[in-house]
Amino acid sequence: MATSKNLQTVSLIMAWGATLGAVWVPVLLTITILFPGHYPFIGDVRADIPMLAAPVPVFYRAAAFALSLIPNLFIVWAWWSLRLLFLHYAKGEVFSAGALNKIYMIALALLGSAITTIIVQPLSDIVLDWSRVIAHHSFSFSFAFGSDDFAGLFKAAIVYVIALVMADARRLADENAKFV
Amino acid sequence: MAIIVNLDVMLAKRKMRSKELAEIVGITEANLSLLKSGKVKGMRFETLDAICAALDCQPGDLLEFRAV
Repeated sequence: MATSKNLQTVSLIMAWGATLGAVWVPVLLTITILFPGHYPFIGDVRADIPMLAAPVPVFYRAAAFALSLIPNLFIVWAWWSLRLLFLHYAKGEVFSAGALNKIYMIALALLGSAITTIIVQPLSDIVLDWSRVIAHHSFSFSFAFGSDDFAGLFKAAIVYVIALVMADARRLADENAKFV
Repeated sequence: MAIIVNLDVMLAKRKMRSKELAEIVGITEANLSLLKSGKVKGMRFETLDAICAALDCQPGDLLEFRAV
């Protein structure tokens, strides 16, 4: 399919943006979890994860980091799939099987991130608080499902619906292609 | 398929080349070639109308049904 110059240019720019996103997420996570503090444009992650403000030993901080990696790896997967999707679009492969597959992957990755975020957050809190748990022989944690979590699930659902629509569009495009 | 496209015959009768017809009708040469060889799934009335106007012929001159 002949690609419009506009689509090609914008898709390439977006592919680069998605590449930055895929790289920036793990870098940002490493910095803010292992070296919590106030950073320009990012703020202070200690406000979201109060345990980080406490003098937590590096071992526990690293364990919490490893747990936090799980939902963020899904985010990196989403960003990378988005990059590959835009590269398909830049080549004019708007309705190809490859492009469609990438949209499904993005939906799956967003869903994985939303679900694991809900699960990992309380586990991270326990790990960061572990030295206190050992000292006091007790621990507490709470599961929370807030508007951010709902937004994450909703985003995944939106992308999934778009994937279904694109699958239909592909079927129509295939049918149309055989007509002159 | 039992529908035969006799476009080659009409092009020869009208002494017109495929490239010229494709430009007049507004489809690519590749699609016109697919049409001539009967490898398309269907044809829009708009395309049929444009071909008949360009070749000054009837749809029946272009399309023939042959029972298999």
